[in-house]
Amino acid sequence: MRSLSITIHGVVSHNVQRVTSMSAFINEWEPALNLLVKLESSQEAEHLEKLIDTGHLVNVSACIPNSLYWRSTIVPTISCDTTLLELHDVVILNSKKHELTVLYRNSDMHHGIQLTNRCNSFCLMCSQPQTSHDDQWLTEEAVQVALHINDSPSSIGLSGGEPLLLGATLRGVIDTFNTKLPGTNIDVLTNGRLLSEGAIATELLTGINEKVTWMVPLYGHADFLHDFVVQSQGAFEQTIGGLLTLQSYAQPIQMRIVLIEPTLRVLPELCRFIGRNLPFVREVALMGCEPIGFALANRTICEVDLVDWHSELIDATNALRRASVPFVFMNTPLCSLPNSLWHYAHQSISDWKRTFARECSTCLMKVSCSGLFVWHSRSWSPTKIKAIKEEIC
Amino acid sequence: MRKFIKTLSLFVASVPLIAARAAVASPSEHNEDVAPPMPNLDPVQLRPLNHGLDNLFAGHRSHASHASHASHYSGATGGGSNSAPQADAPTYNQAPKTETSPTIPPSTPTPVPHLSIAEKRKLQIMRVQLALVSLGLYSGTVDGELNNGTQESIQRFQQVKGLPASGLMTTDTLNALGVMAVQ
Repeated sequence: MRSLSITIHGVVSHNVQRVTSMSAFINEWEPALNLLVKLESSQEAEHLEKLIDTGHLVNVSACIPNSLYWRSTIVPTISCDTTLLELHDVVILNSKKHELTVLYRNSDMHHGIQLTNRCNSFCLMCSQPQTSHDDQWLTEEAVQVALHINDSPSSIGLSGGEPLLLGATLRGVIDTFNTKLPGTNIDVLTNGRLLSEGAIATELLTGINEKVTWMVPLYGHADFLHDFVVQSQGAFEQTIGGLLTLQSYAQPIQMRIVLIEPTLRVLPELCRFIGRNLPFVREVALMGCEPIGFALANRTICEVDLVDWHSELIDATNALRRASVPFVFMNTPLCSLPNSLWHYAHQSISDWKRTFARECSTCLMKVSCSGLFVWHSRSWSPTKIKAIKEEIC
Repeated sequence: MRKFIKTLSLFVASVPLIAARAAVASPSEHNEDVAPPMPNLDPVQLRPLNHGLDNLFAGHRSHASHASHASHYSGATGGGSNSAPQADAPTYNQAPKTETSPTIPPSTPTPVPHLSIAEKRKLQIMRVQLALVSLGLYSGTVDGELNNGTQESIQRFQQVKGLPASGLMTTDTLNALGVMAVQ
């Protein structure tokens, strides 16, 4: 999540706001939206102040560059480095931390909204450790973000925590996004466990729009394997139940496997299991472990050098290919994969948390590489990063 | 569309004329710094902001039926810090956790905002009022009512622009004001 420091003048709104410009202001203004108008000059500032004063507009704030001195008794104002804000960013202010957080930016390649921090699993490599607080405000914030987005992105991810814990509220959020952003595909990141319960499944899935993809992880082809990785007894049965429920509602599923030691050890068998028993999944995503959160605490099994596991990767992907199940690699720099699998590697790391190592500067394949998580420098990378000198693809 | 093609073809037809005039004019001026007389027109901008059918409220003079209309807009709620408190990390040898029954809050699906025709009209009037305020032609409240003050302001604007002074939000008026019709 991008944040930037701000200076606050007056009392500002702590609601979700859309960044807009003075030229777009009149056509974007509506009472239900909170607008943060990015001002470039004191003329624009005076113009805005006049509009707000005459119109008694209460949902408008101003954002001025640090270089501009302008104070108003009418317009709540913040000053910050406005070059870091883009038109139609959806932002929220935190006056205690003197911070502005960008919740959504249209020019990003990946969009994600966190719906809850609670979870019913306890995965060994969880990148976002759960909390047990009541965090319903996150759902309300997500809905507000949906209302403040100006352009429809091609897809947006709803994640957590475990979104299914929201029950029917999740359906409300999905419906809000579908109505407000009709062109946008919604990806729900879930462990699918609660979908094995008929009542919840019916409530959530009846008549759901087809633009929803369910991203469900599976870490083993037997209960004790999967249950160990997610540290929850009975999770395997529930997830399989959830997957079958999704299939019965004809929902597209992306199966996700995080590549840590316990899953790599059984990866070929797991992929054969998927090919034989869950061939309806849209694709299998084989994902490099994000070195943050619980992964740091369980470093001994989460830190793997993918180069040591090439034979398992090739075996596993061959099994998927034989079963005609498409697969992709995510969060895996090309130098961590065998050449034959480069074609399947996606640039999956979100813009704001992607970086490259020093070695990458001379790499010929950098443009098509996923790169690394920014926190790899404090922890580890999926392999020893090396520059690729010849293009094979 | 036909009107657009006509405008475009007129523009295209005039290009050689303008260019020829420029060619004649430039040798006599001996000034390299003068901006080329050829206007830098973007053909896309020849499309008006609103077409006739975009504007749902061009002819609504009476607003009596809307006078008592209460606003359905709801202010935004929520917000807060984005920091997630730390949780205890499980260790490698920890016994698998026993399932705690997940708590599901009562089903409160979020209402999807949908503007009724009256609310759209109100919003369009508000935007027109804001545009008039920014031009200094209106100093009343921005209340979304097409009241006498607003109509007089629209008429004044229409007179300035040489449009029929009807006091209504005609499509030409919206285009001249730069206000997008609410759809």
